[in-house]
Amino acid sequence: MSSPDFPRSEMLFVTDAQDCNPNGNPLAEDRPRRDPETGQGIVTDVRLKRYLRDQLLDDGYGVYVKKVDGESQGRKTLTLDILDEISEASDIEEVEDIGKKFLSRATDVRYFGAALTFESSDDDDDDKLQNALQGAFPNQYQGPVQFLPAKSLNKVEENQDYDSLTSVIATDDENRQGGFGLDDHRIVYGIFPFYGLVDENAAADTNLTKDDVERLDTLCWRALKNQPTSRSKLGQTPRLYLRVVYEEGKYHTGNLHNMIDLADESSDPLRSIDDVVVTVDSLCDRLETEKERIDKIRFVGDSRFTLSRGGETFGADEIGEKLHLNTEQINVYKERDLADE
Amino acid sequence: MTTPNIDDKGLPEHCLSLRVASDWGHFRRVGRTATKQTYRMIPRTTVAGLLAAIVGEPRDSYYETFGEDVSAIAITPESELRTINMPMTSVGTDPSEATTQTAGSRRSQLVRYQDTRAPRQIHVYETLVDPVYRLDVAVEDEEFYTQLRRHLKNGTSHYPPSLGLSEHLARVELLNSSSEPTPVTGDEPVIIDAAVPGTLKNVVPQAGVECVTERSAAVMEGIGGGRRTTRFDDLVFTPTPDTGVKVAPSALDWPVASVGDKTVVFR
Repeated sequence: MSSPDFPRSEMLFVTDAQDCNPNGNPLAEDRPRRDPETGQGIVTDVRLKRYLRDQLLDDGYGVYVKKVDGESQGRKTLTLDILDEISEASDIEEVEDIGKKFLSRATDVRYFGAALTFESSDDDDDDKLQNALQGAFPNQYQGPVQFLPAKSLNKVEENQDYDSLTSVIATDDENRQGGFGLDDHRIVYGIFPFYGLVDENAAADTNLTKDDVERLDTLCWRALKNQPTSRSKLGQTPRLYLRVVYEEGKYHTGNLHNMIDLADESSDPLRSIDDVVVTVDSLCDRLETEKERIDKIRFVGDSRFTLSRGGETFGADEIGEKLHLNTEQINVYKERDLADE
Repeated sequence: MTTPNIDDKGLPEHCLSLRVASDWGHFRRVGRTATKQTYRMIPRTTVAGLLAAIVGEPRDSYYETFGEDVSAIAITPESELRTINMPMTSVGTDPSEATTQTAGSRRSQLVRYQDTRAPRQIHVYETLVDPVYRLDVAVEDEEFYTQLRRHLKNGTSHYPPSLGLSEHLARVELLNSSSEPTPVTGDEPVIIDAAVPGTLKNVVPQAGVECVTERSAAVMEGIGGGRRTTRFDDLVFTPTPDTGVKVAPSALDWPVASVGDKTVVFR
């Protein structure tokens, strides 16, 4: 295994969701995911990674997990979409270093990994192709970039006002009126801290590069700005992004998302970002005790997101000044890394 | 500090005590496919994998280190072992998960399984919420033990540890780098904080205390590039913290010991 050319880093990415459904549960009428005991909203890592993949696509990068021809597809079709020079089993031998080529084009696999198992087929040619693909790849690429599913800092309530949506266009030519009871469940407000980590050792397995890691600094922010576009997803906003870059590998502080909490000054219940004050005392204190091990902290914050440290409140865009560490503010649009440029 | 010797009964002369925790955990029960249920108690084999990740041992390389005569592990739950369901949509086509959509004869009840061959599949993960475990660990493998203790003392890890799924990033805290277990013996029942190997028949009931059992993988061996389980343990434990299982040490085949403020069973 080759040595990584970058150290470990970890991320705290705070987003919020207002009057929307940040992550529906497909087995519960698509209601927003919620912990029934604590009332906290939940957004899975899978949902966050979908936004990141969609932003990668918009930025011009190759992505493995996506719709092809407007439809969801299985692994064979997705793989062949990446390796478009392959259409039958014998083509695979013609491609030099197929794994390297696949990873160079499938940006999301370099970040998040993928399972690459293929089923057998009744069709002989298809069966040969699937077997050849199975032989060409490991069963799984372990993702070096991992995000914990996020739990909201607040208890979330479902917004009852949206339950009775009615479509104005009939659902079928035979019907004389639009559909009723279109499930449209939303939360009133939730603020979600994601915790993520870039594992420099696993990075060697997926050929994740330093450029890939640095791309996360604008990708996360722009993905949450740009990708929640459907009716139920509109209302989500990135509020704070920190990436802590360590001096060397094999060390990370961990648990950054549990070092922030709602301050007493926050309204109860929360209705919008204007009601939120988050205390960052524990986070800042802990990071400052790690000073010797931290190379720098890259950050971007929203001025409307109010943070508090030592009783003083300030906008999240000022957190760099409040941290007694080497901080760099990210210019999200100036620094964005587009594949076509 | 020398590598701990583990006596004939399985009691180590000293051990590492650590706490692992995450917001989420999932330890997939064997034999489940479309619905991925979880063990409440982190299996002993998963502990081995977690510690091997910290040290940086490659996959399938560390089973001898955690063999039954050369290692001793006690697992104590320190949180309520509560779960919620987390359905996930993922890309499909894993042939090992292809199942029939119907089962049984004409007379039996029709059973429908998810068609896992479809392009997108919904997998339901039963997921632990805020699991916390204390681990007391000793292995006789000098190189491994030295590396593990060094990593735990420094707060470092080769691969970031997680509780089951790789996205369930874990926090690891070293509690004591040289705990000295004190044997607890006798026929009188004692409250044991850790998971107790054995069956409910050994347990002395306590008013208001629920005991549950699980059978999970304990020891594995490598075979031809793969692995197989060579020992499963039945475990008895209480799913709520601050209560323990009441058992007479003499009723167990495993050594009971006090380690710090906990009474545990090494296995």
